[in-house]
Parts: sequence; C-alpha cells; structure tokens
Amino acid sequence: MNKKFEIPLCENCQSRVHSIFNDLKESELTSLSANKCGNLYKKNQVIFYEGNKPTGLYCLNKGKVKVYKINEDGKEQIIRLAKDGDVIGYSSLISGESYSSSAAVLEDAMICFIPKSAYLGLLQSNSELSMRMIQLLSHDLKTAENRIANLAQNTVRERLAETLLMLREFCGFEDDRATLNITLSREDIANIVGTATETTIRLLSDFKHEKLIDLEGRKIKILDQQGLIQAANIYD
Amino acid sequence: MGDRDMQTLLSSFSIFKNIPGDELKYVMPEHGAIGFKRHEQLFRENEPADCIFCLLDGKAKVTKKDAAHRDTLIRFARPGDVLGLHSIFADGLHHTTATAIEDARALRIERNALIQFGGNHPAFFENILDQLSHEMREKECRITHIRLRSAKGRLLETLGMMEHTYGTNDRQAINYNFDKEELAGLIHVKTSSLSRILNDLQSRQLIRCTGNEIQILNLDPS
Repeated sequence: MNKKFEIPLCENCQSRVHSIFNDLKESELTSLSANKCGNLYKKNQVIFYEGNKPTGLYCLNKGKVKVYKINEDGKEQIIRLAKDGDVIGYSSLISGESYSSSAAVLEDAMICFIPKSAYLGLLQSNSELSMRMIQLLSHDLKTAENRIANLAQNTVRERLAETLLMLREFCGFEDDRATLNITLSREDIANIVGTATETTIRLLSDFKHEKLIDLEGRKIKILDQQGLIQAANIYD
Repeated sequence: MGDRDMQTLLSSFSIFKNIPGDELKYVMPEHGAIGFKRHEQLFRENEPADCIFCLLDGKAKVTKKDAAHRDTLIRFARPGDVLGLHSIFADGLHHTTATAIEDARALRIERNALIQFGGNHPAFFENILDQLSHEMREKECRITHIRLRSAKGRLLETLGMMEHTYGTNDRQAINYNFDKEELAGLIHVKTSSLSRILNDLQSRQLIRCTGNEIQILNLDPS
C-alpha cells in the first residue's frame, strides 16, 4: 500500500459485483470514474464525523470500516460494519441532513468518493439504481431493528456470542476456515456489543475456557459454532 | 369514500408528495379504509409482506421479537405514518408486527401496485428513499442510546418515544390514554410491578400520573 497508488476505475473495480453499482451501464461507469476521487486511509483514520454535512458518497474499494455514534456518556456504539463494495453515509446524503453517525477505518482501506451532484444525477436518471438503494436501505433497517431487539433484551454474554456469529457472516474465515477474517481491538468488540471493554475481555476468556473460541492476540478462532449459537440464545 | 377523497387522503402521506392526485388512482386501495380494534394486528412478523398500511386514525405500536422470542418495541405510529414500508423491499417477509393500541383506521396498499407505480413515477422512489433514510437515522439513535437493562429505563424510554410521537395535550400530558396492562407488556413487567415503578418515578418527580394520563417532568434522571 506504500507505493504511489492509482485510483481504481469503476469499470475495472473488483468489488463492484457486491455493490449497488453492479448493474450500471458502461457509459455510466465511465462517467462515475471521471467524476470521483479516491484516497488511501490508514487504520483508525476517520472518514467523516457525525454532524458534518455530506458532500458525496463514500464507496469502499477495499478495506473494513466501522460506522458509529457517540452516546451521552461519551462512549462509542458501533452501529454497523462495512467492507469491500459497501457504500457508507448514504442515508444522510439522500435525506440532505447532516451525518447521523461517524465512520472510521478498521483496517487500511482504499475508499472512493463520488461527489453529491454526480451521485444524485445518476440516481435520478436510473430508476434501477433507486430501487437498489431502496433495497439496501430496507435491508439495513431490518438489520438495525434486529440489533435494537437484541441490544434491548439480551444479556451481555448473549450479545457477545451473537456478535461473533455476526462477524463470521460479515467477514468470513481465513484459509484455516476457523479464524475470523478481521482484526478488531477488544474495545471495538465492546463497542459493537454495547458493554465495557473489561466485561468483553472477561467474557471472551470465558468463551475460551468453554472451548467455544480460541484467542491469538487480536485474532479470534471459532471452535464450536453450535455452542456459540446456544450461548447467543438463538432458538431457530 | 369517493375517488377524489381517497386521492386527497393519499396525497397527505409523505411517500406520495409531489405526485399528481390523478396518478394516485393506480395505488388506490379497492375497498377503502380498514378498521382495526385496539389490540388487533395490522400485520405479523414473518408473514409475507404483500402490502403497506397508511395510518389514517388511531395509534399503533410496532414490535419485533428478539432471538429469545420476546417482543421489543421498535416504534409508535400516528396518523400520517406508513407501516411495513421497508419489509416490502427487503426479503418479502414482514420482520415486525404492527398492533393497534387504540382503535385505528388504515389504508392497505398492495406491494405490487407500489412497485409498478415506482417504475413509472421516479418521484415516488425518491420519497421512499427519503422516508427510509429518515427511519434509518432514528434507528441509529435508538441503537446508540439503548441501555435498557432496568425496567425503569425501559419505561422512561417508552414514555419518551410516546411523547415524541403523539405529543402532549393542554395539560402537558402525553396524548395517550394509558392502559396499565398495555404499558406493562411493552416493558415486560407485571402490571403490579408497573404500578410500583410508576409510583417510584412519581415520587422522584420524573413523571406525574393523573388518571389515565402521564406527564413527563424530567426524562434524564442523573
């Protein structure tokens, strides 16, 4: 990543198959490429801050990002994670309001930026893209509602088990088919679960003793998926 | 109800703003408004999401089951709100349950009619994007501020959401005729415990209860 880099063209983007721009026409992609810019972001670098006005859409070419809000105690609550092909900050851009959350990089990332006018122009001329955006928002709303239900009611232990299962869905495994393909600090995990870092550390080591997971530095290996499902109290 | 009246009604909903009234005939419900008695469900979680409901009168709650099948309050709805919108665009199943908490009337609009309508009316999709973005912001706030391990915390949050949705009357009380059983169900306590919590909050001057009315005095006990 240290070499001088070139902004990847939308036409050749490997992550596009996972993105809302997958069905764009060649001419639309060329025009997106011509209008956008892109940057490399280092781990922990902030992409945008809650309260600022969005001026465009961020689209992840490569890397992992957390979207979070700060609660009244000054604690960070991670709302969702994003990866290759995902767009972030889109709901504020569409509603024309300031960002309702902040975003920061979890692992070094390459992120493209599409200016507001180019994006909204595309959205107006392409009703299929509108439909994909509606589907994306609907899906994210559904995920958010699930999180509300589980944050409100479950114990911290249940929420941690569920978070580990969610991470498996989100980033998959490394080549050994057991290690989660993401490096998160204990604090980040605590901020997803919605609890203190100390509690997270204690519960992770409980899970390790119960042989549900194994820990190697920041890497987490899932040993017993069925056990985790039980710990998460997921019945079906 | 005449077609004209129905069109006027529909255009008062934000998802139909900036759309000529005549065009709304394509999404008009065939049978007019549907009445729902208190406690009656408009739709249920995991049923096929083949329609949305536009709430004309009354009040409703939207709930979702958590992993252990306990109901969690997602939001309250008032006249002018649309229910079930994002389910029709997600995986085709309702992932929440909507229940009337007061007698209600709503227009039922079919999913297929809406999707076809959107194909011909870009403004409609724009409105939906606006609406969903707005809902997303609310959900993000909810996720961030949720710290509801105690029944007291859940009660205060529920009252806050109610006041936000239904406003207050001229006595500064929340515009809702409280039913203790309903409220106890929303925060998962027995009716007897609810009375105790209400009394406690009242003695700490956080709320004031008069008859079936509750007034919020201070939402942020610290």
